[in-house]
Amino acid sequence: MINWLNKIMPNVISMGWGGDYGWWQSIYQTLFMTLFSALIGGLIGLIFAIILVLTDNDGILPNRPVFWLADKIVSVFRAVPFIILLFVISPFTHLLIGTTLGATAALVPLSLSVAPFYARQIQVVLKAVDPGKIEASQALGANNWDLLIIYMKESLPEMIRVSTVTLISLIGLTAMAGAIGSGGLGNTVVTFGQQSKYDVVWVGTILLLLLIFGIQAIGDWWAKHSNHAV
Amino acid sequence: MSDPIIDFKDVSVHFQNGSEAVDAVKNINLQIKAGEIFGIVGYSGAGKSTLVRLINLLHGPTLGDISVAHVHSVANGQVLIKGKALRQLRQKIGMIFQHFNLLDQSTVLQNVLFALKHSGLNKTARIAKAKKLIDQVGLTDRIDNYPAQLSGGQKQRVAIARALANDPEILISDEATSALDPKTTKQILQLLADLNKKTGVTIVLITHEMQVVKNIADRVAVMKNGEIIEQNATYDIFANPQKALTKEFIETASGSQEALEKVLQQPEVKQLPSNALLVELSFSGSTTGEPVISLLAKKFDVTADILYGNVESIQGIAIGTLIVVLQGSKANIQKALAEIKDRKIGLQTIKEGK
Repeated sequence: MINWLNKIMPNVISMGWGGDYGWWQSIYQTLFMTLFSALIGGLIGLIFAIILVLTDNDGILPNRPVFWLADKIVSVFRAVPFIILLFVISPFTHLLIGTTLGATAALVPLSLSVAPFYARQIQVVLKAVDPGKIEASQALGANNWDLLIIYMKESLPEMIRVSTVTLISLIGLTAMAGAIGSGGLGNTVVTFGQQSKYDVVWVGTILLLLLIFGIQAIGDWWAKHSNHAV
Repeated sequence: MSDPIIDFKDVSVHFQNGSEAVDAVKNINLQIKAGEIFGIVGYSGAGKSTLVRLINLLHGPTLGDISVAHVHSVANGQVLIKGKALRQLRQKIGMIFQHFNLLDQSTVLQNVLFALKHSGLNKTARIAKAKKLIDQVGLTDRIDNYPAQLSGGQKQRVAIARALANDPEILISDEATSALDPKTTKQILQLLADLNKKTGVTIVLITHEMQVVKNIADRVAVMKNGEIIEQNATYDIFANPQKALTKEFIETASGSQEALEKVLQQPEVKQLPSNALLVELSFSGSTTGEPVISLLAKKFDVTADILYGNVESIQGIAIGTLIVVLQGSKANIQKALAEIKDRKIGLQTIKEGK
């Protein structure tokens, strides 16, 4: 068995499971980068989305300057391609983490890139909440905090759906972060691919696809089961 | 009128819609008494929705003074209450909507509980009260259902339970039956009338259907282009409408206009003989019961062929319409018409025979 595997994918086997350059380290780094940049970037994105919806003209706290500023910040960060952002913010990353290499350092550009993407998605989702529901809640004497909860609760299935989309595009970004030596499956695939070690490229790609399909399946299931509107 | 629960003095709303200035509400003076059911009728765009939203300040006025539930809420177009005071005033004013506006991701019970969030009751008391409200609208067996699992009428019942959660003094109904079928509309209106009788809640009802106010309103105002053009007790509005628009609404509600069009297509009306006259008689109150038709035959030898008839009861008083062909000698018909006028029966000649 081992002989046969050694024959068809020698480089995959020689990489090994454990160790600093093994498969587990590679998978772990991808999961680490995805999870933590999703949490940090997701939170920043969510806050921006809420600010954008509440301070918009037809929002519950209309505020032209605040909306304008938040909208421009999101637009600018959304416009910079990720591969460029990696280099542009590297001094900031160095200041924050002490290095620009490795998975932890990659969290900075990943979070800053996913935040505006997520902010726009959540903005669209929250804006789709029927204004009649907000008006009815106001008529019942709801305060702004209550209204924010209504916005989130009524759009929960859609929020789960766009979070899934965001998480999947984030996995794509972690692969690109391999370019600055962040580690992870993307980094492994790129490094070995440049050395024409295609067995590693295939196995790495399949692992990434499994991760993406897994997240998609869980996200779809959860969005569907949390939706009581149909 | 002493101590109205809703008092509007010279209230106007202007806003800018792009480059166009809109006068949504113009110089409204309106007093609504505690405990009455007040109907506001008008086509869409007449300003009804904006007007009722001034009651709970979902919309702010540009000019005028407003008092609601003994709170002076607006003076000279300036809103006097904000924050907590505004939210507390809103708790005294329930509101139901055309599209129900329930929370789709919450159950019936959760929808009603949401309204009780700031009621000051503890959790046990809130649940008990929510259950009582749901029982009051007849949905106890649906308490854990989501709105998507309910019919339109049931959704509106949940909305009513929610609107009544804080024992409001006023209930605003914004086209609440417009998305419902006629049978469900009747049931919902009956429920509102019962609640009004039982709890004394003042109901302000806006609609584009005269049928709706006919069934339950004590008084009616007709709105056009942001103004109240006519206002009276429901019976008087129907028996004696003053403005063309009011007449139009009433004709739509009674179906008499439709009936007249059909009558005019009938062959015997198309070729009306020279000794015949097509007339519409309208009866109201005490005149309805009188045997006028048989009297015309006996006393003047004028036969009356009834082509259409309708009698309905408004606030317990009957109003009727008859479309008849009178036939007899010219002189006798003139005498008959004089008799009809004497008896204070409404008379309108539609067509003379040739």
